[in-house]
Amino acid sequence: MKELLKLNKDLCTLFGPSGNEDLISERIKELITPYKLDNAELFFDKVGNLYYHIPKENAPRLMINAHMDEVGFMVTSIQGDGTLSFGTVGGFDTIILPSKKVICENGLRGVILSKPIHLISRKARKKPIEVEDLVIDIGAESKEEAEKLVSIGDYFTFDLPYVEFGEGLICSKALDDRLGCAIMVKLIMDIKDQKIDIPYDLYFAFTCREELGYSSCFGASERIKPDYAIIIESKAVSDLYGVSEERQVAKLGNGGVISFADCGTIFDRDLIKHIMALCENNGIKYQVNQYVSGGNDSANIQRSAGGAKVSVISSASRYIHSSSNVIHKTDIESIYKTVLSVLTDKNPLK
Amino acid sequence: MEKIKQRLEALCKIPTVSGHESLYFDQILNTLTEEEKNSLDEIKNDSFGNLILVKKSIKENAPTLMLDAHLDVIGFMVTDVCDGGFLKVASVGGIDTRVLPATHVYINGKERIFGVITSTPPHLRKGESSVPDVEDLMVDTGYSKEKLEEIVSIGDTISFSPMYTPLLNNYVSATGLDDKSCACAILDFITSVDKKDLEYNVYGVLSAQEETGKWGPARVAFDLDPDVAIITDVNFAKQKGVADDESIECGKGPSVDISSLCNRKLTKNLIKLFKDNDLDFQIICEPGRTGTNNDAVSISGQGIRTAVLSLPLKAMHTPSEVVKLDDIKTLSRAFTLIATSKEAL
Repeated sequence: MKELLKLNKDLCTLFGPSGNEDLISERIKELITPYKLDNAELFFDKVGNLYYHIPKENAPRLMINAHMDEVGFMVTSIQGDGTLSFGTVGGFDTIILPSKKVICENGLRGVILSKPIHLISRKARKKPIEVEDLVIDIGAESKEEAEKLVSIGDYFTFDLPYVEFGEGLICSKALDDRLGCAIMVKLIMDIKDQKIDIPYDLYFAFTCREELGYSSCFGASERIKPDYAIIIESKAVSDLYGVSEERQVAKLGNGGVISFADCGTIFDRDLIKHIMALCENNGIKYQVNQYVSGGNDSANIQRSAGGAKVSVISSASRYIHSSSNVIHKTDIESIYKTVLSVLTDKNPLK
Repeated sequence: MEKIKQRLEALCKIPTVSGHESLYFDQILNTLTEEEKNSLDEIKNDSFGNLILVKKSIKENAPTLMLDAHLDVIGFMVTDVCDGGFLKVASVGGIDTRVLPATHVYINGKERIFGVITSTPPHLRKGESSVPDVEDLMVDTGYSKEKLEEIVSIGDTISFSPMYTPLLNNYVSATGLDDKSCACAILDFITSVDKKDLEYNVYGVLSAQEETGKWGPARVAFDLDPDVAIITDVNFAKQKGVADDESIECGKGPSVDISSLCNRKLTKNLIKLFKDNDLDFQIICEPGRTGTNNDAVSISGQGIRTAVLSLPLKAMHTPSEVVKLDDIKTLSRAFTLIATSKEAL
């Protein structure tokens, strides 16, 4: 558990908005290289997805997937006063943007400025601030000065600390989906350390650009052509005080969320049932989503190549796509155990 | 400048939410060295929660100069501890609810604990994105209700996470720069000025409850009846969406505010003093009320001769305000000019 959380923190704090995942993939490669089995392959494809393949002949092909990218910002123009206009990379509720600290890929720090409330009419105070009205202030005092340090097209992400708080919660940017990456890295380490014999032709795929919808995962599943795929993700939930039970979707701390459907995918019933049975038999916590919402790479994988049977196991996450995703530590462990139970299955899928 | 930077960072980390200033006087005074404390004639506080630092002139019958900056910051107060470890809150001061979701905060309970202001994801919300009312916001603490009740009580304050971030060109972004920036200038001036140079007995007032009604320093002015009172607060700096005529510019020094509620002669004297000494300063017009402590101080007791100096600040009342340290240094120098000459009178 401790090692898993350490990996999670390590990966969450790295810089990697969609389309710019190199720092993440290089770090993951560095972490798993010492654990590479002799017969395994570790390689990149031409669009930046990273694969770890443990081949097995005459066995069903299983793909385990998590995406490396996070939501972020891109500089779209530099203003005369040295501030930066920006666009969003990935889906944002723009209400969470104003006054957040941000950091550029080159380490330059900034803050998202909004106009003071005192200068806004009473009526307009009820309207969310539009991205067009926001700028990033890096402290530069002219366009010329800013241009020496930042270019149009540069990325920014949130710059807020990774915090463990309350009774077992974590608050950080990028938990969606670095926690999935961390779980996959830990599984790869365990396979070597514990000499686990996997009953599948197994691919781990660390993929790019999930947050944009037009995901690089599509290419990954076209390459792998999996029979089965398990996607490890983060799922937006709203288990807040005062929210009706069915609208909460799922609850933090109740284990991985095994979805029967979301807005993009109807998941494979047999695969879900198989995974649930493994959880039951091994005493692993899991939960089922109570509300159909969200979507992820499962849809891409399911519809790629000849089609695949897919299941997603998600960590219930509050305030997703913000500087401050909140998840429960034990859910990371539950998801890890769930996927491990699939890899050590005595009665594997055919 | 390094000294100002360190002092400002230390001040911003102290969660002096309005009405609770006196809980933190020790921490505020800890930002002064022993030597700095010893250079003062007196450090006192009053029943209202104002902290007063006194440095007297060695001259006989020196007039009295009061400098004011407010110590309090906007924040929240806990109104209910709910199931699942969520806190309902009320705002303390002018909170901008457009900028709050997903903000990091600290709850000042028996322990100081971390929390996040909640937000509901778009796809789980009914209708368009809208700005929540304070009543709709909660703070997520991550504790069970039972455990949380052991740490937090109704009425405890909540403050934004300080997150002091240096930017380029001596700009910093932090919470509570309104009005810790001016408080920092007062501390910088009063601890460094030589008594021998003072033409006034100087009372540096770090005042209480500006954000909730500008009540603090009028109490001090009533007791002290100063010959001159200079009120210092932050003012709107030029930034995207803010018009030139309602703002001043960062890096050009403090502004002298011209207002009907300031003493006209004193204001003119300050402008002349600053011009004669090549001090960087700006002018801003506040035809009616200034919206600062000035308005209450000016009618305190039998009436007080007041002027306002204000510091340019971007993104006022957000968790990440922005100030330029050079302006704080210039304000401190303005205090020195005022206190070491008789020109203001």
